Order: sequence, then structure tokens, then C-alpha cells
Amino acid sequence: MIHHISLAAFDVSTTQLVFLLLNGLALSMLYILIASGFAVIFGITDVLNFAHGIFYMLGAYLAFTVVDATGSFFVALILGPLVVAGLGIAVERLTLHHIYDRSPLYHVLITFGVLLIVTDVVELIWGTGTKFFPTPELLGGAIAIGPVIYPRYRIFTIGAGALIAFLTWALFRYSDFGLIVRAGAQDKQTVRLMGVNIGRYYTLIFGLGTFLAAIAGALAAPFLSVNPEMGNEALIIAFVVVAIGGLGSFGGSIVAGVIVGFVQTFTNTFASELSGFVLYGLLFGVLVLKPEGILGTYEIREQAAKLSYDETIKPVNLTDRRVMAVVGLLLIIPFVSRLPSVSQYGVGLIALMFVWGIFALSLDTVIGYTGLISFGHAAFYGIGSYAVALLTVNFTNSFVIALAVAILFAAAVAWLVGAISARLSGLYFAVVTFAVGQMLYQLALSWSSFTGGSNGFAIDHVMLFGIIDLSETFAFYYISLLLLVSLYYVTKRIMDSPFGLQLQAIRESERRAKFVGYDTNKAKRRIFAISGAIGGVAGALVTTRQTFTSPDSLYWIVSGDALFAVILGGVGTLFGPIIGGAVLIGLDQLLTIYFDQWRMILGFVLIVIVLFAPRGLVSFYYILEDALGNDRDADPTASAGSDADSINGDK
Amino acid sequence: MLETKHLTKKFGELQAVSDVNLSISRDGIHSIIGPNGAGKSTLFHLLTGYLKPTEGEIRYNEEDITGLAPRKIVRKGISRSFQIADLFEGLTVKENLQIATQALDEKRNAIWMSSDALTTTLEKTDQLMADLELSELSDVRADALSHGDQRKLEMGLALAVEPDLILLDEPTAGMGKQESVQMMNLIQRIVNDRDIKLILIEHDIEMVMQISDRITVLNRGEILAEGDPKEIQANERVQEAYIGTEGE
Amino acid sequence: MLGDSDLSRRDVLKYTGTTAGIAGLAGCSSNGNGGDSGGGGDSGGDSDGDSSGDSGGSGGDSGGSGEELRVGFLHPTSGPFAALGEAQEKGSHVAVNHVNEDLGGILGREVVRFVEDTEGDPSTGREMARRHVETNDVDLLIGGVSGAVNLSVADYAYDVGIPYFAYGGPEEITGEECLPTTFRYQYSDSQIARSGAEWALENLGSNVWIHIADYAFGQSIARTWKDAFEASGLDFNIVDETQTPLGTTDFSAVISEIQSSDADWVLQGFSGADAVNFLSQTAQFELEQDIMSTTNTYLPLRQGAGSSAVGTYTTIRYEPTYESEANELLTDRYTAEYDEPPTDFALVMWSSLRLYAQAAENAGGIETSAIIDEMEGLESDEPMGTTTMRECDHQALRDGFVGRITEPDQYDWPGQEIVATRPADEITRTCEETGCELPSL
Repeated sequence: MIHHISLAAFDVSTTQLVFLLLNGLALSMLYILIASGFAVIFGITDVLNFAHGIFYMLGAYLAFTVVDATGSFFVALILGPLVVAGLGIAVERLTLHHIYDRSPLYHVLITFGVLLIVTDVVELIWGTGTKFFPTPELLGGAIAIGPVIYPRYRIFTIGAGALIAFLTWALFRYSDFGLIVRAGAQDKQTVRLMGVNIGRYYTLIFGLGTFLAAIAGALAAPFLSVNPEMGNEALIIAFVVVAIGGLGSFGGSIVAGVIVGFVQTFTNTFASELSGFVLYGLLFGVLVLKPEGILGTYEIREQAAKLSYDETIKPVNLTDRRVMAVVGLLLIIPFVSRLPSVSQYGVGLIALMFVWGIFALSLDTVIGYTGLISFGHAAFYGIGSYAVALLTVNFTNSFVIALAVAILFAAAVAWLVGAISARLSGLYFAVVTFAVGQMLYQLALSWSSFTGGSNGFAIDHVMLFGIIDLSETFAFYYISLLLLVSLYYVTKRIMDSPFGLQLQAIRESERRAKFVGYDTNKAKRRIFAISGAIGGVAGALVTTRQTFTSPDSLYWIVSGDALFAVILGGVGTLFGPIIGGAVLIGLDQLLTIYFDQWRMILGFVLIVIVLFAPRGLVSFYYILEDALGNDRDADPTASAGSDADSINGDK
Repeated sequence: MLETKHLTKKFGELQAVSDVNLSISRDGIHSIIGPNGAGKSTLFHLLTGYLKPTEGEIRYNEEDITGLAPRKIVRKGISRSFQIADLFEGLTVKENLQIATQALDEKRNAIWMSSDALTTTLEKTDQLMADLELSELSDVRADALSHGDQRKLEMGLALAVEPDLILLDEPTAGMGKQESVQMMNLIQRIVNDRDIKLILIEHDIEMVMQISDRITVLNRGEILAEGDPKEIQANERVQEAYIGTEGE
Repeated sequence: MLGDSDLSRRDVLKYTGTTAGIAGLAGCSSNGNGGDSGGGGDSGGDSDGDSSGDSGGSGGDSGGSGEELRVGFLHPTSGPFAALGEAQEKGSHVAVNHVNEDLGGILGREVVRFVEDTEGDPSTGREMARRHVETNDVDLLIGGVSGAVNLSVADYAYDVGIPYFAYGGPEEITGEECLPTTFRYQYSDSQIARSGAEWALENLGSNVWIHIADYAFGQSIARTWKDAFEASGLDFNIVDETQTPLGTTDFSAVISEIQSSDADWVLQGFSGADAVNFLSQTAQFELEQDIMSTTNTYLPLRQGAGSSAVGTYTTIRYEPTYESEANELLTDRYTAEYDEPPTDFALVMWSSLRLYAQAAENAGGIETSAIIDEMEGLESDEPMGTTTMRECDHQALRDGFVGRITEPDQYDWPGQEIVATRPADEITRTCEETGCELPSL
């Protein structure tokens, strides 16, 4: 009794069709649930909540624990999310609440810090293994629906998901609360004038958003199990669904959830080898065709993403004697290392610090100078890395050629990304760059005949002029230092140029820049290409050093770390991010020795920096300088140092 | 020199500007007035390319400029200020004006030279700062300026691109009476010195009547009346519209 | 410093490298902040602070390693393989204690354990191997979980010329990318496939559905099992071959497809969270087909999947109740320390270190070429039976086992029973088949 129905190009039996519908529906509901909390928070407060995934994960873990303790899934379904919502409110009150008037860049970083902390806390409490979450008795087993046997629990989630989405929608549509927050999202001033404390509503919205995240996690737990990786997946889903639907549009995220859910199910069924690309492919397509998303409106928010500084810190000159002193010191360190207090490993580490300095520098030209929040710089780092690796394996192990190819490819891809996303600003820009980075990551994973897949691949030693082996610590140290110093010179020179001034104009007000006659899109493409090229250098160097590359060099966490480095050092100062990159990699290596939960510590550092020192480590120097009555000799190294000394410099 | 035909802009159901036919001549100061929500700023947005019209046409010196991007319209010689000052806030007064002046320079996109090497640009910037009486504030960040100075700088950004036609959107917004008069004098002086045609949106009816050569009254997106100040003052429909909305 | 053809690179490192670590470095370069360098002394890797005090972190002094034998373990204690990494870490702890306490160390020298976290990432793994060699000054490397990390570490170990005992199963490790410094006590993927394939075709049916996670491990399973089907000479029919990306959480589409196909059984080509999700969803869907895997034997997986794993089949890598003297010793030592049965992860750490110890004793020293000579052909009684380290590819030859996951018995999680034993020579590829040509050291 198998009837064949021609469904598009596929030959599908009724059994398959029913499965397709049910599976698609279940997945759509899950996506809607995951995305709605994210959409609510972004729609009202303009905060791109990178901690969304871990709140989702926390919901699942708490539900797991409550079920363990009480045996009741339904108690867990309410209790867990309430606790998480409380946590969300606490996070909002302690951090975001005080900085809504700042650039969304800082909001993103706060939530990134929360992500780092909670991830480690979860691992500390619940361990790292995957937990089996038993299906609640009442909903266990499968029932017959038409020609198929389908799990009861899935039917339940379809219903529960629809109900929650409906209730949330009704809350915004019909309650006073909904009216006020919707009005507030449109026009904060007016709502404030009406005597409403909009800040309090922001807190509640954050609580609601995290509640929704957690309930999604608790609902998903029985069929997706519970593990520390689940947060990452949820975050990416939320990101993509919301961006496709239109940032800030709740209705849009529902429409997008359904579309993505069904496209994913169809792909899983008929072309499973492509299933990893569905999310990014859809996102990319939508953003190219209709950048504001299916139901989004984005003109209104154009100004929302402005990055501005309270104080102006100019990049220091290379000829500044503090810089010369530090460079001089760095030049002799490898010789000092013959002494028994510095190991070869240490020299290699400093060299890696240089590389991360270069990478952070590349990001600063885009973020700090042009005000474009790129969340996909891993793409250029990874391209540089793969360019060297592939070239070395297939053609030549000449460093000069490899570096040139890395620069060329990274710049070309960056130019393209810039071209696609130039008409977007602020957070849309972050979303597109994120999508590009992740697509390349997926490509590197899947195209294994070319990239070596998840294994990555090892390469020969890369040679400079055919005689100097750059995997050797000392040679690598000096080539990295040389490149760092030259690239700093180049970027500083560019930023001092008419073009550089134009970039700052774009950062301060792109609209005004257009109205005095600049082609701002062209400028954005160009700076993106330049930035990509420099990012490519960093990637190329890392691979040269490690004689190895893998898709992890393209993963979004790399982009997050780069952003972290920029803020840590001092955004918009060129030399600050170099310090930031160096300190970050140094902290990373140092903390891993002593703590398993070192990422948690980094998370705290990030949040403290964002809240109290938004211009990062460089501002400490200026504070110190003030305190010491401008006595420069008092602390000559803590300033422009580009290595570990800055760790001590901020005491 | 500037003409619109059937210019219309809809936002969904709302007709912000509807069927506006303007003909603005080379001489004198032309003011556009009207109650809140009359569509004055939307009209400016249309004329300068910030918004695209739903229907209609804009001609400047006989050339069709409908739907051109703002930067292209600027190159044609039309420049504007905003009702809420839109400055490069984190940069100094000098940098603000330098950026705007530099936009005219052939080397504005150069990446391998210092911006301070564009001497003509710097000279023009200094001159403009002097004209605006902002020279002493040269190194002050724009966001640290007083409100009045911010308005001046806002106008400076519009002037720096050497326009033939300048559209000023409430240049005295938020200023006291005396300050407004000073500002208006400054505007008139600069416009005359540089031979720039001025189109003005202004709230202060008294001032408008004093300085304008010609006035267009907008209400609910439509032209209610047009004429010289005397004709406008005498027009009953204008009085009604004003009393009806703002008179209380 | 560039031409190093005379000395092995490792020798150079030995003389220039010290163990002061990064804290020492920070102390040195931070302008007279020398007080820190004292703290740097014990930073030479987290050298087993939690283990028996006497072998705990020393390493403050620089230079050679005369009195100790330093072993660098690589465990992914954070990241996607964290649960497996922790199991491995327990194993290496017990293994080191065993060698020190029961065997009196190696060559009379105390074995000191250093642990670094690979995070499951091949470039971090390589970096950590580098840290082991340059900072911890280790004499051999053991560990890594994912194949990618194993390959990148193996390559590095060869580069610096020290022995490496791999944990991962990829064919290449003892196949096309075999290296003189790399040894594997762990089964290769093809040994596993040949243990299970013939038995499954005979006992579960000839219609197979292969579903894998789209990454190196999954692809390797698909490849080796298809080879093994061919090699068995039995009739077989591959109904379909499907894949999902690594980290997939929703398997409903493929389970629906399998459900409505005429496959007899499914080959499950993935581990970890993917496997837990897959198993729990097949249980919810009440999938009729049998499931055969190579990974459900893993204790963390059985703990994760719980009741949904019961009734599935698996090749068995380690079973604590397997009867042998060597196994008794392992379970004794392990349960005394952790109050739970040992795992495959512990087994491989245990046997790898023991094999090295025997080779070193036989060679009377730890020079790499001598170790290699003694390792090749070495025979030893290990917990899961007699093992021979094959000369041609450095792959251990030992018997294979097929099993079934059973209801929980002694513990909270499901157990396993051995349903078939396959002799070593039948499950191992011939030297010619491996494609291994060991390069010179």
C-alpha cells in the first residue's frame, strides 16, 4: 500500500511524506523556540545575546537535575527556566543595564564573557559527558499517525512549541507590557517622556528572553540529550533563524523557523551530505537578496550600532622611545633565552603573541577605525592558514610565495565580504561576517579531499629564501616580529592618510560621510580587503610555525577571541590591540597550566574590562600617567609593551 | 534652479509628501514652513537623496536627479544640514571640517600619504573655521561643544563641500532668541559672501518673515500656499493651519 | 641555530630548553619582577598534582633528566572529547603508578607523569606536544583521542624524534602515514571493522544501512567496514549510505528513512554526543532494525545513552570481567584508585606504557632508535590477551571481540557481554595491505 506521490523532483511515498511533515514540524518548532528568546531580546534592547546558547544549555541541565531530584518532568519544565530567568535578570542588572548607551560591540562582548563563564561553570558542576535525559513516562513510546509510528514526545514538543510561541506573541500583541516594550523599541525618547522607566522593562525582557531560551533547552533535552556542546549549536541556530527572519522581528523568526526547519529536514532526507550547509546557505542567500531579513526593517536602526570613544588615544609612533625600548628588548630576548630562566618554548610563545598581535591589529582597522563589527575574522585567519598549508603541500614551501598567496586570497575574500555586506551596518554586518566565517568552516570540514576535513593536515617546513627553516623557533620569532612591526607601520600610515580620516568619518557617522560626498561602500570594501590581508598574514604565520592546519582555525570562537583581544588592549588605537592579542594568548597559555577552568577567568576579565575600562589595557597607562603626574620614567614598560609585561603593568 | 514634479513619498498608508510641485529660483532665500509632521524634513530627505520618492521627479538645473545617491547629489552642488546635528562626534572641530573639505579633493581616497599633506584642503578648512568663528575651538571634540557651536559646525559640514544650493533644516533649533538671531546673521553673511542659494526649514515664523524672499507652506504633506512673506501672512488657510495645530 | 643535521633536534632542545615554564618567562621579562620566577618553578606542566606525592611536580631545575623518566600524556580534558579525555587521564594516572610501584619504574628510574590538554583540537594538540617536549622535557608521548590529534602529534613526534603511542584508530597511523616513532596498542579501525563485519553479516542479516557522521572517524568506519564486508566473502547488500554533520542533534530524518527501508541492521558510524542522540532517538522512534557500532563499548557512551543503548551490538575494546591475570591486575589497581571499573582508555594508557617499559628494559636505555628496535616484534601479556607489536607497521596484533549491550547489572549504566571472539590474524590487514613504508628515523 505504498502510494507514490511526485513531490517536486523527488519520488516520495506517503509514509515518507508523513515523516517529512512531522519531522519538519518538530524541527521547526524547536528552531522557533530556540530563536524566539534571542529575537525578543534583540528586538527590544538591540543586544545580540551571545550567551543565548548557554542559557538554553543551562535550562536543559537544570531540568536534568530537577528531574533527578523530584522525578517530575513538568516541575522541571517550569522550575529550571525560572531559575535561568533569574540568572538572566541578575546578569542584565549587573552588566548590560549600565551600558545600554554604549556601542553594541560592548554588549556582544559582555554576553561573550558570560558565555565563557557559564560554559565552564556547567562543566564544573555537571561534568563534560553527554547526559541521557530519559523521556518522561507519560510521553514515552511511539504512536501510530496515519501510516507511520511516531514518538509521542515529538508530538508533544510540536504542541508545546506552538503554544509557547503563541503565548509570547500574544503577550507582546495584547498586554500593556507588550505595548510599552514595543513602543520603547521604536522610540525610546517618547516612551521615557511618557514617564515609563524603560530600563526596568529591559531587565524584564532579558528575563523573558532567557526564560524562553531555558524552556527551549528543557523541552529539547529528552530528544536531543544534554551536553556542554549543545549551547553552541543553539546559539548558531538562533543567530541564523533570527537573521533570516529579520533581526528584531518576532514574527520573522517564526516564519524563518518554519522555513529553516523544513529545508533542513528535506536536506537531511534527500541530500544529507549537504545538511551542514543549510543554515549558512539560507542565511547567506537571504542576506544577499534581502539584507534586512524576511520581515525585518532596518533603516530605522541604522544609527543603533555606533561605536564612539570617550577619549581619543592616538596610535604611538614607531619612533617613540618607549616603543623603541620595547622593540629593542624583544630583539634581544632570544639571546637572553640561553640563560636558564627562559625556555625555547617561551620564545616560541612570545612569537605566537606577535602573531596574535597582528591578527588583533587587522581587526582593529575594521572595528576600531571604521566602526564595523566584524564577527568573522576567523575567515581571513583561516584562509591565510590554508593558503600556506595547501601551497606547501601542492606546490612550493617558499614562505615569500606562500605569504603573498595568503595575502591575496584573504584580501580577495575580504573584499567580497565587504562588497556583499557594505550596504549593511552595525549588527547586520556582524551577522554577515559571522555567516561567511562559519560557511568557510563548514566547507573546510566537508571538502575533505581538498582540506583534509576535520583532521586538517600537516605540512613540510616552510622555508624563507630556501635556506631558513621558519618552523625553527628563532627564525620564526624574528620573522614574526619583523612582520608585526612593519604591519603596524603600514596600518598606522594608512590611518593617517585621507582614506584613514574617511574611515573615522564612517565610524562616527556614515550618514554624514555620505552627505559630504564620500563613497562609503567603496571605502568599506577597501578597508575590509586591507584588514583581511593582514588577518591572512596572521593565519599564514601560525601555520608556518605549527606546520599544521585544521578547520578549527576558521571556527567562530577564533573571531570571538580576536574581538576580545581588540577590546582587551584598547579598541581604535592600533597598538592597544597588539598588546591585547599578546596578553590574551599569554594569559591563555599561562592559565591553562594552572586551571582547567581558565576560560572562565578570561570571561571575568572580559566583563571587567568592558564595564570599567572600555578602552582596555592602554587606558591603564594613561590613568597611571595621570596619577604619577606625567612622569614617564616611572613605568617605562607597562605602556607600549607588546608582550607579557603588560600583565604586570596593570597592577 | 530646483524643481519638483508630483513629488510623493508614502510610508505604508501614510502620505508624508504628496504631489508636491515646487519651483525654486536662483535668487533670494526660500523658506519652507509648516506645522509638525507637515512633511518638511521628508521633503529635504527626498531632495538630497536620503529617501527615494514613491512617485515624481526632481530636477536640478534642468537635470533629472531623482533617486541619485546622496554623495552624487552633493557632487552636483546640493548640500544640507540636519535638524538634529549629525557630526563626527568623536573627532575635533578641525577634523570634522577637514573631512568634509577633503571630500572635494582628488586625493580623498589616497592611502599612502598623510592627510596633512593636502595643503589646499587644510587652507580651506582654516578659512571655513574662521568664517564660522570656530577657530579657537579647533582642537575640541565635536561632542564637547556647546549646543550653539554644534549647530555652527553642522552648518559648516554642509558648507565645506562648496555647494551652490544649501538646504538648512532648522539651523537655530534649540537656541535662545538672541543666539538664533546671531546664527541667522552669520548664515546670511556666509551665504551672501559665497553666493549660495539657501533653502531653509524654520520654526520661528517671525524670523522667517524677516529674512525670506519666498515661502512655501506645507501641511499634511501638501503645499498649502506659496508666495512672498506678505502674501503668506495674509493667507487665511495658512493662519487656520497654524492656529489649528499649534496656536493653543 | 638553523642547520641541525648533526644533533637530533631533540638534543638541541634538551640543552637549550628548560623547565621553568611561562611563569618564569613572564617573571624574567617583566622588568625586575623576579619574584615571580620562583612560582614558575613548579609550572612545568601540571605534573600530576593529584597523584602520589612522591612523583608529583618537580621540574624546577633546568637541564637533563638523569634520575627521572618523563612521560608526556595528551588528554583532551576540555572541548568536545572532554569526557573521553578525563577517562584517559584516570587511566594514565593508574598506569604510571603501576609502573612505579609494581615494576619499580623504568630502568630503575621513576616515571614522572606530565599532562597537557589537547582540547580535542589538532593544532592545540601539536602545540601541547611541543610544550611537553620543550618545557616538560619528556622522553615519550602517549595519548590524544581524536584521530586528527593523533596524526598531528605523530607527525610532530617524528619531527623531534621521540616515541609516540597513539590512541586513535585511523588507518593512516599504522598505514600510509606510518612513522618509525609511532606505535599503536589500540585497535586500528580496520581491525575493529574486521572483528565486527563478518559476524554481523552472519548474525544480523545481509542488508546493511550505513549511517556515519561526516568527519574523519565516521568516513573511516564506512570505508573500513565496506572493505571488511568484501574481505569476508559473504553476500551483502548496502541498502543506503547516509551521513550527518558531526554534532548533529536531530536524527529524525534518517531514522524515518531507515524505519521505512528493508535494511536488517544499521552500522552506526559515530561516537560521543552524536551517538547518544542517535540511540535515544532510535529508542523513541522504536526503530525495528538492529544497531551495530564500534563505539557503544565505550563506558562514557553507555553512561550517556543509558537504557537506549541496551540491545545494540558493538565491537568490544575492553571488558573489565575478561579473564586474564593481567586484567585482574589492571582492574585491581584501577578500582582501588577510582572505585569504578577501568575503561578502554585506561587499558590503552596502561598497556602502551607497559610496552614502552619492557622495550626500554630490553634496550637498557631510552635512546629512540634502540627503543624502536626493541618495540618491533615485542610480545607481551596484556589485559585483553597476548599482544605482538608488528614490525612492519608498528600496529599491535591482538584478538578482536564482538559484544552486545546489556541491562544495567552491577552499576547504574548498561553492561556488555562478549558474544564472539575473533583471532588476531584474521582481523588484521597484511603488511602489504596497510600501505605502510616506514621512513627512516
